[in-house]
Amino acid sequence: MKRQLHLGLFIYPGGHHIAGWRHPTTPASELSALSFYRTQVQLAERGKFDLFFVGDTLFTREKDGRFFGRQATSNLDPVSLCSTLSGVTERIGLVCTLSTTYHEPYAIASKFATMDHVTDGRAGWNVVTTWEDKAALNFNRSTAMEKADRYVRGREFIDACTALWDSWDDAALLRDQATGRFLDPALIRPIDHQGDSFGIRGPLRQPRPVQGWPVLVQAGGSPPGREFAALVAEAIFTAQSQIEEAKEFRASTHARMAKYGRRPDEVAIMPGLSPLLGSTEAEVRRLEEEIGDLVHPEVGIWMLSENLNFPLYDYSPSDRLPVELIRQAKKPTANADTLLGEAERRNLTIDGAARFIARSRAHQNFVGTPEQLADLMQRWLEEGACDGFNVMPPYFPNQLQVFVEQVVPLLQKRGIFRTEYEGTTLRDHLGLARPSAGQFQRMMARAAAAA
Amino acid sequence: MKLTMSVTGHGDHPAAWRASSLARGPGRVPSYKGIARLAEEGGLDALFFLPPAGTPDRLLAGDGDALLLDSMPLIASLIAGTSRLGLGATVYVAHTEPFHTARAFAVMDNLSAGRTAWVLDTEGAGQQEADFAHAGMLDRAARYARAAEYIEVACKLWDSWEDGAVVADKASGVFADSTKIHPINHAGSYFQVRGPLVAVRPIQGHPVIVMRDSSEEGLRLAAARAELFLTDRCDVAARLRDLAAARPRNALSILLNVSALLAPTTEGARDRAARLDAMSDPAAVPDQTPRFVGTPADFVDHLVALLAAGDCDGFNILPAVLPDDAEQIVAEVLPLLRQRGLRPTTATAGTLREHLDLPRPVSVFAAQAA
Repeated sequence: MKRQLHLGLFIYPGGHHIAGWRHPTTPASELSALSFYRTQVQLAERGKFDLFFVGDTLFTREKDGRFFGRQATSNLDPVSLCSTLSGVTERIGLVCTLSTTYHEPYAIASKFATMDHVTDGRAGWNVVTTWEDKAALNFNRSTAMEKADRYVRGREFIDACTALWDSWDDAALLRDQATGRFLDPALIRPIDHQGDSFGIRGPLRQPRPVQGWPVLVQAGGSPPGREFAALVAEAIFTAQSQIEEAKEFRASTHARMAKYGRRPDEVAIMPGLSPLLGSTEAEVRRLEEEIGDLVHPEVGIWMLSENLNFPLYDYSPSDRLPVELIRQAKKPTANADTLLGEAERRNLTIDGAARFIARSRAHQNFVGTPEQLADLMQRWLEEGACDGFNVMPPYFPNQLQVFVEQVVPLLQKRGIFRTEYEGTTLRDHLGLARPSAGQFQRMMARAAAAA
Repeated sequence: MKLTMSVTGHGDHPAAWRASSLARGPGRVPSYKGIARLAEEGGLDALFFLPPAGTPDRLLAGDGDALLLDSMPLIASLIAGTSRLGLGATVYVAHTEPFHTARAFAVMDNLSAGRTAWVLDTEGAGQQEADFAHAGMLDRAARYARAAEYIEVACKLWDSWEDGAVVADKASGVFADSTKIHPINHAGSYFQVRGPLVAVRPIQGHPVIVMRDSSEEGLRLAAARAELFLTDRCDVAARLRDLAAARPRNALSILLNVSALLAPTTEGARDRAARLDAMSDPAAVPDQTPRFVGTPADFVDHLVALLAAGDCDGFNILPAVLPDDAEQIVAEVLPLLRQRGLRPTTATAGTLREHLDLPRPVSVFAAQAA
């Protein structure tokens, strides 16, 4: 059988286009209600998507010290949302972003174990570290942790969490009502983790998750982030807008994984892709203009300033984006770097960059027909640029519906996407093996020995 | 009378797991979807998930009464399958951050159309400090001071988005009125939190705040902040009433915990109790909650008598074994209570606050602006 695509639905309030909430078809006053999320996740499940993905931010986006009221927002608590949506879905995976910077390993391990149980094995964890000073202000700090420190803590965090998920042997739960043996105490062990950041006794107080561990996802493109992904990630939600860069990223990821004894088929690399779809070229152009016109003048500049961590309010829209100045002012994040690369490549003005970023931040944008999109996705898959895509509709539900009803059937017809779910867990959909107890610790030891 | 149900593991009795036919998922943990449906059919006000009596060391000894799921994702998974039932999750405040707790409840309260309750765990019931050894442990007085500040921060975060902040005006391009969204700028002894919350205001303003710590410090905290208090004992209820005298009477409801072990005949109930008691591990943590063993009709009389004694506003029922005792409560006990006019005869829509007759908090920021 040909290699198959994996598809994720990346939810975002109002849509990934900054003006998506203003589209006539968007139910903008319902963005905190169950009805909105139920519609999107059920559409995705109808489309046989592998997973539904929720990002996270730990601070609100502001202008002049107040919430910037021209952006859509909704309620952000990924585990609560995903656990709720497990009640209106049967098969689709549910991936939550949570930061290792502002949580406790025991609490996270317990939360995901329960989530995996109540979803019958559909949980995934997008492991992030938090770099913004603004987030720190909500957690008793005045500045963020240094990047290197964040990933060191992150590694120890995963070490502790996997140990906790492994603290019950799969066979520990006996539930022998006749003899009164609830569990076999010999098959449950405290973890007695003693590290630089954490001291945790354990064990967990619930049986091993259905999937062994939730699926571990990673999304940071910085060098320590990529190294972290090589060690930990079973799926990578990356931002690659050019096919050659994407191929390079995938190849180098595989190479990095080798030193941990991990094989390429143990990771699904899924770049973001934000498609604006129309049935004809003319309709597509009309839709593009329509959504572009909805970008309020204040919004694009604000978005750029925020994303690049560089205030552009004094610039004129027709000025060239000052890429060099921005790079010098503060070392850009991986996502910002992608945007800056794009700006250099196309010699973008402030206005041009703003329109670009209004669409989907640093992820790949696509404008065209379903047929053209299927061509692109197939090409990326077959040339080894990715293992799938995280689909980022510019507005909901309309554009998601077009994707599910018109693009998915094309992918299926071409034999590169499932027509039915075969398995029941997120691991099944992504073709990932169930981890054995102690797997992470063995990998770390192997890497240390090789070094 | 106000009426809630609490569940832990397979039921309140330490040997409940040995008699329980509760459905299980592929990971073989109990599934509570059926219990939630049952509680809603029975018109109960809310279902609370509480920590077990069994400690972590008891778990290592093989005790089934020490199982503990994280009740936040658990109640979230019950939201879509219910529409009137309140849902309460326990949060251990000692090693969590108010920002995370506040946003989780804001999300669940919106998704559930206003049906969430926050059960505070100030005692670390069922948790062990050894799972957070790196964080260190505060002394007793400091723990309660921190808990008080935790509640204050969470409430300010829930207030940080005023009601009606979201305008979703497509024409003008204004999604939210930024003058109604406030940083909280909290700088206290235990927490420094700028805010605002990353979530719009809960439908209920705040989730209903539930406490159950009957130590002196716990009662003082409850007197100031609880909206529902769960207690095993009438004398504790009386003490709390005294401490809370300065608050409006309807701002705090006290529910007596009663464990229910029922059968169609008194003899049958006693047999069940005897069999369950015989199956209990002698080393198990003894249960403190008063236990009623008998018929549904006698149980109703028992509740009525307790209510008449005047110290409580209703009951938090702990079914001895799930689903058996929950089924009998819904099928036999509730109809009798309805006949006697003690529970509503028709299901009503509305938030948990409305069902419990609790006032809806005004945002402190709205009050300031006014």
